[in-house]
Amino acid sequence: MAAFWWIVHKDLVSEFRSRRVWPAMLLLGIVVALVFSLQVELLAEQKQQIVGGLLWLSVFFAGAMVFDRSFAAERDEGCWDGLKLLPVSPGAVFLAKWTVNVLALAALESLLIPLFFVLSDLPLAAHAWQLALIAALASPGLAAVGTLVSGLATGGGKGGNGLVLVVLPLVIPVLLAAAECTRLAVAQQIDEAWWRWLQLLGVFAIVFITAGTLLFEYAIED
Amino acid sequence: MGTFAAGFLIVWFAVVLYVGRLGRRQQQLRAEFEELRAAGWRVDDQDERPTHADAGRTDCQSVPQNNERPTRAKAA
Amino acid sequence: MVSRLRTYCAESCLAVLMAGAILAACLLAPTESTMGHAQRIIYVHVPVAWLGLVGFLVMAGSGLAYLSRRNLAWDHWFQAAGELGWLCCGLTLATGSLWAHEAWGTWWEWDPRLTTAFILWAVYSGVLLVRAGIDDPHRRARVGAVLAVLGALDVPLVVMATRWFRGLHPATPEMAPWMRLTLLICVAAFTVFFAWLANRRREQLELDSRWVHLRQDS
Repeated sequence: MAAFWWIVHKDLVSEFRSRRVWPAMLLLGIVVALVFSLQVELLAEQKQQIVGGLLWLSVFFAGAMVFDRSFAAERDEGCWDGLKLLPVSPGAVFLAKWTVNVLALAALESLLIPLFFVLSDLPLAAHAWQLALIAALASPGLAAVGTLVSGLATGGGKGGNGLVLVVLPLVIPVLLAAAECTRLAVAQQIDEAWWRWLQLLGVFAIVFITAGTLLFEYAIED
Repeated sequence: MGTFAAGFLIVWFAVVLYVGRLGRRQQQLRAEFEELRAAGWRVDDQDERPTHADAGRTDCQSVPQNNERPTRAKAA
Repeated sequence: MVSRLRTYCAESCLAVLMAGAILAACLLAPTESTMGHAQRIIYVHVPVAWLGLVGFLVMAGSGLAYLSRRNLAWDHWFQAAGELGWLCCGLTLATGSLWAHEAWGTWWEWDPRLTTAFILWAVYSGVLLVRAGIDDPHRRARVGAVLAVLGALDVPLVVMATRWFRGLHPATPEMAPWMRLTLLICVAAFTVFFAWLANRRREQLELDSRWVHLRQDS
């Protein structure tokens, strides 16, 4: 438990001091959001239909940058072996890295969600708690898959580059569910379907956090 | 009938291409084993086509059974 | 000599089974009333779709077996099942598109099953591509195993998500008994063929592995 908090603290302090990844992630998110909005000239009703999908795609692409760099500090500074030799369970290391990634996604979403709603000219305040709930359930699942795959990639130099190819198909259920939830929330349809999609987000998060905790040991082996 | 024929042909071509690829690799392997035999290595004829009986055999003097990887537990 | 004879007999039986399945699909199954002969494509489409899913499960199972045993023999099964499963998944998309064109007048629809097949194909492709870029056999096996297990956990969620996204897929209509029998024959024949092909590929991978060791020592 102490190691978990130590790793989280270390990564957050290191990021706040060096500002290597989060600013780039936020900038990428903004640029993607702007590009999507530039290209899409639609009526308000049509925008309601697609804002969810575009928002969560933007979150994914910007978030992928953070996942990719999850273990970059250890790899670049030569501390990768040190991390593996820590006398703590690999699961605790995974959960610590996952927590940092969830916080990064939270920062990203707190910027992108208002930005998308401003650019689409849709009311945000009316849907604030729904969107917060969607983000709270989607981010853990995305971060779990991203952190695990990043650990796999960092384990060896060659062959890690294509791993981002695998992440997107794996997180399609999350993106679909989050997009649908957003669409239904914006259309004021908080009904059974909306709760069902939220449950899928929750199930995905639980399944992949568990899988990540159990598989991380194998992901970071030599 | 055209749709069924098209579907069947697609599957058939895909299978033929895949089996052809396997066959080419099998021929390459045969040639490579012949080369080693010619170079004086004792390569058992059985190696050309391993059967269930051969699982775990180490006829070749130089074939380490490297399928097993030591784990941390074993190392300890 | 005896084992070769046994192999030739087995392969001949397989050829007869496949020929029988094809004849059954062409001649035994009655013509469907709405789509006519185009409907016969399901005798090809359903078996490859089934095998695409089976291939993935075999891949994930082999991956788990490798992680627990660390024996590369399991990785050879992984690779063989992965290649064939990827092929079957791709054929599912192709034959599904043909069927969609006849049934819906369009080559592609975001139908839940087609969408799931596409995502499965994308995961297969990613796993095989990533593995192809790794030289060390044990690392390749480990990375493949972790990704395949992730993918296998993902499949039920993808199925749920795609079905909810596009509404429930229309229930499969009742099939005439001869149609059902033909479908079962085709599924059985394709499954046996897939198993045989996977085994041959696995044997080839074992030979490959032995050759690499011999070459390293020479």
